[in-house]
Amino acid sequence: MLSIGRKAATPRRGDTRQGGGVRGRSMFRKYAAVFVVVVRSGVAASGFVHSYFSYRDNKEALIRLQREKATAAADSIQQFVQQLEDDLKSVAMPGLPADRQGLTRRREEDRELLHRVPAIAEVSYLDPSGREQLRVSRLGLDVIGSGMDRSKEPSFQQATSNELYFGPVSFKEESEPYTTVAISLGPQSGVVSAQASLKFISDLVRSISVGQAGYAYAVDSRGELIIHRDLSAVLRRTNLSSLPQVRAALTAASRNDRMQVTVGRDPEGRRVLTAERLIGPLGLHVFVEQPLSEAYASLYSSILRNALLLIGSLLLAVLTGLLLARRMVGPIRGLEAGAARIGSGELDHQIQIRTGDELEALADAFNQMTARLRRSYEEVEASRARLVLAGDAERRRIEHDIHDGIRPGIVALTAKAGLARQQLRRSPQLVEATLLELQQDIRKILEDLREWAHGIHPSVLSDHGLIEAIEARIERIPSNVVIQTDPGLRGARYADEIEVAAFYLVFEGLANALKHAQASSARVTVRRRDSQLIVEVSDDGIGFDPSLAAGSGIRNLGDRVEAVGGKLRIDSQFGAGTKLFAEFPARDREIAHRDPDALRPPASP
Amino acid sequence: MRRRGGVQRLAALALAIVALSVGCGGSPSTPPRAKVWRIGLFHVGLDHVPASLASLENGLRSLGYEPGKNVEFDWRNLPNEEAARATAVQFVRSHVDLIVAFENQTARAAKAATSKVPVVFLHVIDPVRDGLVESLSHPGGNLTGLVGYGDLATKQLQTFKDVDPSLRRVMALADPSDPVSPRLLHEVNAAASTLKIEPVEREVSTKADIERVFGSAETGRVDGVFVASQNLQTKFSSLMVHLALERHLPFLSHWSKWAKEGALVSFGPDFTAVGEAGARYVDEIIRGAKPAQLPVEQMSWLQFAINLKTARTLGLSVPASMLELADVVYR
Repeated sequence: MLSIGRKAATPRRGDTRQGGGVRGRSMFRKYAAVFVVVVRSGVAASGFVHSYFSYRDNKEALIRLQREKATAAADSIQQFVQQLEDDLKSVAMPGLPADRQGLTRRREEDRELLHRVPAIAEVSYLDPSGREQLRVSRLGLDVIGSGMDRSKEPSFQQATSNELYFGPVSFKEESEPYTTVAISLGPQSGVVSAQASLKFISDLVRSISVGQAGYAYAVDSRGELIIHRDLSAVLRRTNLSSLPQVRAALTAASRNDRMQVTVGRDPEGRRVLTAERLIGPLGLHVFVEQPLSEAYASLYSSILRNALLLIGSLLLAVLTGLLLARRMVGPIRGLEAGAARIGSGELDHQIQIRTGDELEALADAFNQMTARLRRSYEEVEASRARLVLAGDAERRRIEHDIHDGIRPGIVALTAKAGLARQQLRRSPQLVEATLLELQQDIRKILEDLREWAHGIHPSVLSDHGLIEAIEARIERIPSNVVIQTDPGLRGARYADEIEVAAFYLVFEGLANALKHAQASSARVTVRRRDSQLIVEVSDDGIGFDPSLAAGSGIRNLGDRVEAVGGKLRIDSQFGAGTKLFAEFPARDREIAHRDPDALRPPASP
Repeated sequence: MRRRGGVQRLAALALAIVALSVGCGGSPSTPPRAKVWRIGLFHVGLDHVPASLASLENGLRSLGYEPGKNVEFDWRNLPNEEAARATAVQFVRSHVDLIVAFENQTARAAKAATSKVPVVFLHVIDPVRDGLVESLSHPGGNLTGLVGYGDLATKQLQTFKDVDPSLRRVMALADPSDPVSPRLLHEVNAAASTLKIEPVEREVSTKADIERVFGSAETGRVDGVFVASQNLQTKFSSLMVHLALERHLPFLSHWSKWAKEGALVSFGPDFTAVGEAGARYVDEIIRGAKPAQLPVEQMSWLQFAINLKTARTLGLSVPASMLELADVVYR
C-alpha cells in the first residue's frame, strides 16, 4: 500500500497540485451540475406545468367571456330590432279607415312615434293595393294621400305575405346605415313601413366593453360595417369581408344561430380573439373582439414572471451548487494533497480538515493510518538495530565461550602434555597413564566443542530438517520434554531462514524454561495450518509478566521471528507457566532457493 | 461576491419588469398631454353666441381637456364673412392646431384660408354641394364635422303651418350674398303647393334692409316670416324676432333661444347635441385622426319649440297635438 502510493506520487510530485486541480475541478463541476440539474428540473417542471395550466384555464375563461359578450351584443341589437317592430305595431291601428280623418289621425300618431324614437326617420302607410296613403318624415315633408305606387317594393310584398319584413341594410347618402321594417296590418288592411337608422345601435354596442381595447361590431351579409362603437368607421363605409373571421362567418351563413371563437385579425392586421353571432332578422354578424396582446396580457405577464423567477432561481441554484460543491470538493482536495505528501514519505504530516462530517472522519482515519505506519516503521528500525546488537552479543558469547570454556581445557591439555614430557624423562612408567588421561581430556574437549557448535547451528538441522533437529536437541536435555507434531511434517523442509528461526525459537524457549523458569517439564508442538507453520513451546515453570519482560532474550526472539515474516505471541503469568506461540510463513525450501532466479529453467535437484 | 451582485441585479431587473408591466397601460381615455392644443373657434353673428359653443367646451372638458392646461381656446365672434376670412388667415398664421367653424360663413372662410390645418364645422347645411368635403363618408380634405339638414326648410315650414294652420302668405327673407339662399328658396317654392303656402320673397342684406322690409309688411298681406338664409339667421335673428313681435307677425326661427325671446316657432337642430358631437371630432383629430378619413355625421337630434305667449298675443290657438310634439313650450 505504502509502496504503491509512493510509486504513484513520486513521478509527478512536481505537478501534484496541477493534477489534483484538474481532477478537483471536474468533480467540482460535476457536483455543481448535478445539484443544479436536480434542483432546477423540479422547479422548472413545476413552473412549466403551472404556466401551461394557467395558460389553458385563462384562455378558456377568456373564450367563455368573449362568447358571453358576443351574446350580450347580439341580444342588445336583437332587442333594438324587436323594439322597432313593437314601435311599428304601436302605430299600426288596423281598424283606422283610410279616409282624410283617419289619415290625419294616423299622421299624428306617426309624428309622435318619430318624436319618441329618434332612430326612425320615416313611417309610411300603404293601402292594400300598395299605394302610399301617408308618409311622415322626420326631415322631409309629410305627405298625405300621394297615391304613389309602392306595391313593387319588397317591403310591401314580403310584409303582405309574411306579416313582417326586415330589409337589407343600405346607406343613406352613401354614409349612414339604415334598414326598412314593415308589418302587415292584416289581410287586405295594408302595410306600415318604416325607415330606421342603425347608427343608434353603435351607441348600444359602445357600452359593451371588452377589456381596454376590445370592442363589438356588426357587419351585414356583404361584410359592410354596420355597427361599431366608432360611428366614424361605419359612416366611412368600411368593408371588412377581407378579415379572415368575417370571411369565415359570411361563407358559413347557412347556419341559423352559432357561435364560434377564433383568432382573427383587425383592420390594422393585429391578431384578435374574436367571437361571432348571427342576428336573424337583419342578417347581421356580430363580432366581439379583443386584441390578443391585451387578452393574453395577464397570461404573458404571468409567463414572463415565471420565466424571470426561473432564471433568478436558476442563478441562485448555480450559486448554491457552486458553494456546496466547493464545500465538498475543498476538503477532498485537502485529503488528496495530504495523501500525496504522506505517499511521498512525509509520515509526520497531519491532514487538517474541520468539516465535522464524514470527510473529517476520513481525514482522521488517514492521520491514524499514518501514525500507525510511522510507529511500525520506527519498530522496524528498532528491530533492525536490535538484530545488529544481537549479532554482536552472539559474537561476544562465542568469543566468551571459546575463552572461558574451550581455552582452559586446551590450556589444561597443554599442561598435561608438558607433564607427560617431564614424566618421559624422570619416570616413564607414569607416562602411559598421563597420556591416557590426555586422550580422555581431548575427547572430552571435542565433545564440548561439538556440543557448543550444535548450539550455534546444529548440523542435523541442515541435514534432516526441523523436526529431527528439535528431537536431537531434546535428547540432550535431561528434563522431561515432549515433542508433538503431525507425522506428515517429519522430513518436510522449509526455507533455511524459516527452519533456523523456528529452531532458534525452540532452542531459546527450552533454554529459558530450564535455566530461568525452573520448569520440570516442557512441551514443543509443531504443526501446519494452511500456509502457516505454527510452533509452540510451553512449560510449567514459574512464568513471568510479558509486559515487564524487557529482557533482551525475549525481544531478540520476537525480532528474529518477525525478521522472517512471522509473528510471536507470548502468554505467560506468574505461577502459570509460559507459552510461546509463533507463526511462520511456510515458505518452501525449493521455492525459496529458486525464487531469485525465477526466470531460469528449474535446476535439477 | 461578483455572482451575488449579478443575482441582485437580475432580481432588481425582474422587479423592474414586473413593476413596469403592472404600472403601464394607463387609461387611454386621457388626451395626449405632450402640449397645449390651441384651437381657434369662430362664428359670424354678433347678436348671439352659438349654443353649441358651451356644449363643445363642456364636451371637451368631459373628454379630459382643461382650458389653460392642455387646451387653449381662441374664440372670435365676428360681424360678417369678410371678418371671418381675415380671422381664418390669422388662425393659420398663428399656427393654431385646429379650427372650429360654427356655421357656413366661417366654414367657407376656413376652407379658403388653409388646406392643412384641420377644420371641424358644426352647423353647415350641405357641405358636399358647397364643396367643403368630397363626400360625407370620405371628406377627403382638411375639413370635416357635422351636417344639419339640407331640406330642413320645408320641414320647418310644415311645422310652422301645423302650429298656425291659418298661415298662407309667408315672407321668405333671402340674402343675395348667401349662396345657400337660392337653394332654400327653390326647395320652399317646390313644396309650396303641398304645404298650401305662398312664399313672398324679400332680399335683405343689412339691418336697414330688414327694418325696411318689416316696416312694409302688413298683417293681412303677410301671415308669417321665415328666413331663407343662414347668414341672416346668425347675424340678425335677435333683430328679426323683435321686429316680428312688434309687427304681430308669427316668426319661424331655427333655434329655441329665439322662440324663448318671442318667435312663435323654432325648429332646428339640437345645438347642445351638435356641440357635444363637435367635441368628439376635435378629440379624435387631436388623437391623430385625419379629417379626410373622418366621415361627416348627420345630426339626428331636432329641437322644436313653441312660444304660447306669442301665440296668445297673436290670437292663435295652437293645436294640442303640436303642443304635445313640442320639445319646449314657453308659456
